[in-house]
Amino acid sequence: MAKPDSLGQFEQLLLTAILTLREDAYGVSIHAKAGALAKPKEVSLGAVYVTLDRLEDKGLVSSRLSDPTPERGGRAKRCYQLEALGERALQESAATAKRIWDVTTEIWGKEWAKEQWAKPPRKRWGKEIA
Amino acid sequence: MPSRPPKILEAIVSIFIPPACREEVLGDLHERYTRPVQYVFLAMRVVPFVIVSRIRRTADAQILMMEGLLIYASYLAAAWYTDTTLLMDQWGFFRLAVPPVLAVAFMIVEDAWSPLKERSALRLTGEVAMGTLFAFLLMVRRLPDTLNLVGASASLLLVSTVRIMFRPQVDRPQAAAGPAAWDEPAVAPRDAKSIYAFAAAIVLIVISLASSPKNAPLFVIVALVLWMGFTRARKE
Repeated sequence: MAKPDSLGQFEQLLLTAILTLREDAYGVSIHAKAGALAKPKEVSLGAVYVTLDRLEDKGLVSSRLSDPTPERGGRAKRCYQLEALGERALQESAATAKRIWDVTTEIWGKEWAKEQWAKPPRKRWGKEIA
Repeated sequence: MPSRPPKILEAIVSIFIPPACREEVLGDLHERYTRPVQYVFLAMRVVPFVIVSRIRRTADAQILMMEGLLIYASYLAAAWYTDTTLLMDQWGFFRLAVPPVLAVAFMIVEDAWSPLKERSALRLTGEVAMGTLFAFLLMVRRLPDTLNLVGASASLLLVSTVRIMFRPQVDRPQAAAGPAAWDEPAVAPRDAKSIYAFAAAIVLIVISLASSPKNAPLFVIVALVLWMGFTRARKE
């Protein structure tokens, strides 16, 4: 069976968003969900498109066009769903993240872990903002 | 406040979005619409990413390299047979490299904007004609006219053949259609055909060097393209 590559952090976010949204995973909803997951970092819609294309090329997700809807000006949505490889890659990433969290919390203590949630830095992806 | 973006704005934005992803991207922008200025800024932030992603999907580096080399070889040959003074010029070889860059860039954009899944041989030739015409027109007065015309005509003939042989892909293979990227070996095992092609290319270079060293660059390019073509044909 094929072994998936390790995922980047942004790819993990998008796969998690698709997993959560299930049938309703398309550009805008994935962007909103990924933004919520990435808080306080901001997520750009353009970056979401690029990464979704890359995930599709890797065979981690697949897409199809839905029926047109009036709230979108009669245009169709491109809906995404996780493929088996995508699920496996996300499971591996989640397991790794959990192990990292456990070890860092054990070494730096629970106070440090609480601080991480209490004072979030205001950042875009890879770039500080005022 | 209108609940939908002005049609004129949508029409302008849609020109910049490749047709293959126009439907969903315009729909998403429509859904996020609040006011015209916000729509324009959102489109300006989103559309460049969409274009880059589409080009990444449709561009094939190996085929583009072959096309670029063939156009360069065409202009090089045209210079040898029409105006050798250009080759004596300090920047002559670099000036001849401008048309390939222009034509290939034009064809990259054409591929990204092509709405068709399968393109006929006539259409592919037409696309190459547009690319070479674009390069030809931009090089008028920058290269001697005869050289420019002969180079562009030879490019049209050679690059059309390559495009018809190795048709541009509309999308990269998906998981359902082919193996995932990590299933493909990093270095493809060489079979007998590619070794023969490589050997033929080397022989061609040696013969050309022995016959006339000044023609060597041309033969090197042709040999390189032949080898790339054979190895590509083996893959397909």
